[in-house]
Amino acid sequence: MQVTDLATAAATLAQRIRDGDRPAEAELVQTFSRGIRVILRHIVREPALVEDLHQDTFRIGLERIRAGALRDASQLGGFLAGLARNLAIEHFRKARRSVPEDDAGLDRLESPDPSPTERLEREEDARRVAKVLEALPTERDRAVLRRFYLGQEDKDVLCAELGVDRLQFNRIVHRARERFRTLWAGSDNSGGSHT
Amino acid sequence: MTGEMDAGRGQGSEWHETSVPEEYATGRLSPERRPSFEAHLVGCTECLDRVESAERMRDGFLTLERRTPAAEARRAQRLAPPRWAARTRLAVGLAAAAAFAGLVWASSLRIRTVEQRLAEKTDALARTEAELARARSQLEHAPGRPPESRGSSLTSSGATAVPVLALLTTRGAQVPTLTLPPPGHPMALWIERELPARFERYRVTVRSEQGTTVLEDALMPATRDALLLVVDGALLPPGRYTLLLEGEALSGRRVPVSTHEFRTLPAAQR
Repeated sequence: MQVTDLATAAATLAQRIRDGDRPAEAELVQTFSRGIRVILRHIVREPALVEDLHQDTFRIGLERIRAGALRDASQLGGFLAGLARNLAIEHFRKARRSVPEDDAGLDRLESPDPSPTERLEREEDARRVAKVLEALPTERDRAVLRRFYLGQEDKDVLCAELGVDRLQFNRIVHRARERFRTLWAGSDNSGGSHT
Repeated sequence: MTGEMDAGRGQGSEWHETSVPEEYATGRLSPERRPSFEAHLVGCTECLDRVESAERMRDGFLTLERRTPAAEARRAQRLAPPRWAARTRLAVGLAAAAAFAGLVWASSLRIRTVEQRLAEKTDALARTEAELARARSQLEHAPGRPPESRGSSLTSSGATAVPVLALLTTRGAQVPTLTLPPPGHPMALWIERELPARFERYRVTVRSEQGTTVLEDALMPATRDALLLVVDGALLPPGRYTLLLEGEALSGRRVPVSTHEFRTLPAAQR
């Protein structure tokens, strides 16, 4: 789909919502729900809070679209993404104002303990990552991945320190990602031909 | 409709040729590029797949890392007392200054209604005060503390209030301005951390309008929200300044976090 088609589709959907078309509202949620969750999860880690903010995003977003407050209907996705981010940041600010001064309160706010299910998922992810690392041909490639996912350095700094150019770097990250996704999809016996 | 709105097939597909989705997932994408990428991401299944996959890889790496003894050692090192804690006199001065700043701030709150953003700063500053009061108490009981610091005027409750300038990442068009304290007195810069916080150590560099570095210091977070830098007011004579905040990565590399402009005015203009 071309840029103009995409913008037109977004504008059409927004117009249908303004016209009171209820299925269009469900369509909006279905289209952007996953993306909004990913954006919120990027800011707040606590699943219950992500769900609350997710609901708020669509509630407020739909109210504004119905009221015709969306300035550029072709930028529907950007509007919802910005709204989600603003709601999450606003939540943090309010929470900080109301949280008591004890550190435990802040810990609960920002670093919730993973649930048993999440813990299991993380164990599974760790097993997959270990397999991805095993399949890499050199120690340098393993270092690139480890530092990319665990460190905070900019990509260019990593490349310079590990002696790889941007193309090589992207290739290492890409191959690891594909391998991980294959394992994630349950094809653990697909072999190491991905490299 | 979901398929029809998939941005991955058209708009923003230039993102697909890069590692931007992974940079986003690992918190590397700059705040300037984030909104445009998120506007694309929200409707692009390919990028969503990549971001979710990268998030799970990061979680997997973290879980693996926690299992290794070396990681424990590194974490212990990261949690070691900050460098400034060893510099007792400076730390005591900093703690006392922050306490006075907090008191002044808290008193002003009781007598007037403040705007929402000011309330936010105050709360965080109150937490800073508590943290630093604890640090001061620890330092006062620490062995090897130089006896001459006990009599420091900074620890006296009757000392002059310390002016505090809050530097927020989101601010209005006006340049934050601080009226300098009388000569020989300290002032405090309260610097908001990035959200979510990524670093445990920071470096602050303050440059004058002419580009001269007038101040450079390593800092640990005073609270989860902010860093507090207490300096002698004489270091920042009336003028305009730029403060660069950098986070220190585990490797020791510095990563830019934020830049703040601010102004200082002479005490006479108060």
